[in-house]
Amino acid sequence: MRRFHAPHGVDYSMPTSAVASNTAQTAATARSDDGPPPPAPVFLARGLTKIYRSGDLEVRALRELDMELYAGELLVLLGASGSGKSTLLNILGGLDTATSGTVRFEDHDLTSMNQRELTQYRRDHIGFVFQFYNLIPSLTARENVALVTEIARDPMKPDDALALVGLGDRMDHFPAQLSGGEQQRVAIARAVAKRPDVLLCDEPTGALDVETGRLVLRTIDLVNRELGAATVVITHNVSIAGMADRVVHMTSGRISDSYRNAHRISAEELSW
Amino acid sequence: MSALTSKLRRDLWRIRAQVFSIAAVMAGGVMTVVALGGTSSSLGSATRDYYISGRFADVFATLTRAPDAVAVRLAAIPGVNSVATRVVKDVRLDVPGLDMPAIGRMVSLPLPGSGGVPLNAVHITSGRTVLPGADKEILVSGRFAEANGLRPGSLLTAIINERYVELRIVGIGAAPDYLYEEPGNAFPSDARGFGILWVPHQLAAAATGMRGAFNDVSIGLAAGAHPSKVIAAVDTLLAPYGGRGAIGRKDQLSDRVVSNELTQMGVMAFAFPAVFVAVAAFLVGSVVSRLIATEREQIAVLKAFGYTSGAVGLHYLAYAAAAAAVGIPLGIGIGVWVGRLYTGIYSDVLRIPGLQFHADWVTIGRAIVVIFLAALSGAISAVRKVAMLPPAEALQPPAPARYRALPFDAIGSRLTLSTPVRMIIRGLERQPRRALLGAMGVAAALAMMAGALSLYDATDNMIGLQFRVGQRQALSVQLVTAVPASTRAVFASLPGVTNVELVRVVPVRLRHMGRSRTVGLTALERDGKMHRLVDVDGQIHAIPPAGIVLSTKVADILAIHTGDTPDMDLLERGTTRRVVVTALLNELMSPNAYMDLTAAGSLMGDGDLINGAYLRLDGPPRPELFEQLRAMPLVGGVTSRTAMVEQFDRMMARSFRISAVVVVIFASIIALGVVYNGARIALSERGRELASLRVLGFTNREVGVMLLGEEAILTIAAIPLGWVLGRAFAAYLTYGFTSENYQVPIVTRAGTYAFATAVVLTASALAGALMYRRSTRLDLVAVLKTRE
Repeated sequence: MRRFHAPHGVDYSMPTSAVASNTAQTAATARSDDGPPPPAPVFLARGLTKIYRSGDLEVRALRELDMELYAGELLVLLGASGSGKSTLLNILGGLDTATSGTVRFEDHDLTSMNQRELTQYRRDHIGFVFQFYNLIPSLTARENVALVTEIARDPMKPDDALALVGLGDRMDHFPAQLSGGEQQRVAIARAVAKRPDVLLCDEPTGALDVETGRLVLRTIDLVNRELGAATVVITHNVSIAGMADRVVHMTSGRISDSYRNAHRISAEELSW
Repeated sequence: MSALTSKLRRDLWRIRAQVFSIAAVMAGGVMTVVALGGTSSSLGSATRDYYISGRFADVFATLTRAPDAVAVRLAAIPGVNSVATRVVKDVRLDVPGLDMPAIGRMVSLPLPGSGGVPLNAVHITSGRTVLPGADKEILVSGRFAEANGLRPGSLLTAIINERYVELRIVGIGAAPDYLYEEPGNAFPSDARGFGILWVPHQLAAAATGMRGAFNDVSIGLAAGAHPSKVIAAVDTLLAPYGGRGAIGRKDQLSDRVVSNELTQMGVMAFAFPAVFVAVAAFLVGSVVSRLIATEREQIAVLKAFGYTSGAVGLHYLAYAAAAAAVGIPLGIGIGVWVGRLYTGIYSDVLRIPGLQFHADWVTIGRAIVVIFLAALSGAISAVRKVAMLPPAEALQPPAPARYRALPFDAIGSRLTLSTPVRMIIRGLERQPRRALLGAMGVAAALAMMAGALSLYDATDNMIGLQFRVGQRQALSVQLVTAVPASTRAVFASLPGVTNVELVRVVPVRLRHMGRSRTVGLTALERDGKMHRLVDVDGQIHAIPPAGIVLSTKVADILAIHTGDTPDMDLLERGTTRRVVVTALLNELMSPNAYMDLTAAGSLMGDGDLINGAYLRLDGPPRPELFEQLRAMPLVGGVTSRTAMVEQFDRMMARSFRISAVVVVIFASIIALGVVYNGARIALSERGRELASLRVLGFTNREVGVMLLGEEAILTIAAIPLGWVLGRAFAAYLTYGFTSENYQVPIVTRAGTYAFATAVVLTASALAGALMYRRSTRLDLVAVLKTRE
């Protein structure tokens, strides 16, 4: 059974009607939607547009995109290179800002935050997992996790986070002494040790072989279930979609398809 | 333009701040070589040229009196090429606008029509020479003329044979034997109070009663002649005429001062560039090796496409060459400017006609070669790695950085270091050589500044010991002749005089173990409070009731120990006494000998004679005091201690201003260059790591601490190291200033070191701030997608 952790300072006063009306697009394309609607959206994006300008060149990475993410759900974001999925993730993660449109995280308006507030937002609410792990080479596995728990408000013990990802016996190893899969699991432990509200994973298996990738996905699945953090996994690997609560396809900066899986299948059953 | 050249051009522009910081350090090296080396060579060559054109003599002798016929016998000594005899005498001057009496060293000009360029020829810098037959026309020396505002046409009054004689200045002159205008006796002097007067021979002869005689001789040697043999022969020949011992050029006061200056310049012209060159080599090495590390894959591609290792290697050496290409002209430009300022100061002290700053192209050429070699040597090991790198391997990312556990970690996790602190310490641990060199760079900046500024502290300390501890009289009065000690009453009755102490200075030659030295024997009152014997540590030493106190330096030269009894020739009387050396005095300025005034009287057998007095006053000197002193024909010259100290301080202050500005700027450049490049390289190596931390929610400030922590620790660690090196640097520089006549004890003043430390910290903080600003603009998005 999933355990829901009440996110810090969440205000559930958001009008549910707005949620209902805004999920119309999602509902219309849903292939299977047999569960009850999730309690409240963690993210609510409306009319999100991102334009990159470089000289005379203008690239529309996101076009009037609407979406939402619910507490505890695992969402897989699929799309080809350049479809805008990373841009969306970056905006949700507070790394980038939209050109127009709004994004709300719980009761915070991300679009109106300055850099300092975005940093604080990432620190308090978001866990990141990168394609290339991005561990600090000079710190052991335990210290890489401790790095984040030292600045978090209600963290787990680093040892517990590492035990959760199955690395209880590798805690004193430096990144150079760990395999790619192990490094990625340290990165996941680092991301979840602060008990984030949202876990954002950008191509977490992109640099790994099938077997190791599967292990990493199982870990993501596990922490999503154990900790109840809303999780977004970006991938161009369609096979991963099976493990999601909900799957969103992006094409040319828009959501082209979205559906809810009747059953999440376990990472072991995935194949590609 | 080849593709590689285009790459070089664009990359240079991209890392321009780093290239420029290295160029600036190189410019510092070139600047010091050009300025110090150029000043030194300008001074050297102007002196050499002037010695030739002015026929500077090789051997000098003074004596009591000898008939002109002796000159012919001197000329007959083997090895002697030419002989010039002169009459030299110090006379009392009244200078318009100067309230104190001054001393003029009257030097006779050769008789008209003696033909050719005479030895120690007077060079006219303005006005004209003395006309034949005009016996009241004179030439005066430049420093004295400038200090007193004298010009051709000005009048001076001299007391000659107890009569006031008005003399007309017709020209300002300079001579090779008086490049440095000091009386060279134990009496203090200042620029206004002492000058050289070149006067017609008949005037000097009349003034001294030396018609058909001389008391000063200069000798030019034939090529290949040995000075010491000639000196010995001259001494033998002049002994019956009161000869005071001939000397060679190296003991001649003016030449000795010039030589000392050249030696000092030489020391500095080596020491300063060495620091810059070492730092430049280190910076080039670290920047180029980082560049190569980031461009590993590009290098592999170039090699895979068939570029030779040589071509690729040259490409990276070109970065070092580019920094040198910017730094060298910049250094030459600043060096010429600073060199002109330094030479200007020298030309005020040393009146060398034609002394102008000339950039010495041989030295500059050498500097350019050294800087280039330093740049290349810095880059070469990194570039060698490029050449050795097989393309296939280079295409692979470098092996991940391997870190070890801290020694602390092994001891146990009792030390609760925060994770960022662990990162910083492990970073230092991983590259100990780079950390050490970086700290050395910052320490070098601090040391250079502290060392150079300490020289001024040392000088200030010297002046303090000499004139605030040792000599504390308000005025020194030099008498034209020896008088009985009872004259004290005359001085005591002068307006404003509260205390009088008597002194007698006589030239003596000490002989011991076959060696000899001429020194001024200063006889002082034993219980005197104004002129005290002070050693280099500022300790006051009492004058013993009997025997003499000798400067340690002279004692060493003569192999004299306490208790020895050297022979002492009384040069003015032509007699010899044996004296016991009762104490040695390690003093700042030598050579000197001291004894009790009464003991001196009995030793010389002429009773209580004196030829000088020290006066203490109840306030600033009153005009009527100077009026009365001027009215006393007995008074030769009067020197005000404050005027002398002020004059010295002014000159030092001028030199200090230039040196301090230059040293502070270049030390800042070194510190800035080292810290900026260190942090820049750290940012380049760890940008991805730091951006990840930003993504994870660390603030700019927290990330800044992790970025700059290493540099901060290195800078702090460098400070005590810099103090130690600074002290050593000061010792090296003062060693260069130490000569037979001077000792410069090193002084370590907290204020100077604190100032140097503050400058280094400020420069480092500035470099850190620049890098911090850069770190706040890390691309957080890019880091998620790029591989290391």
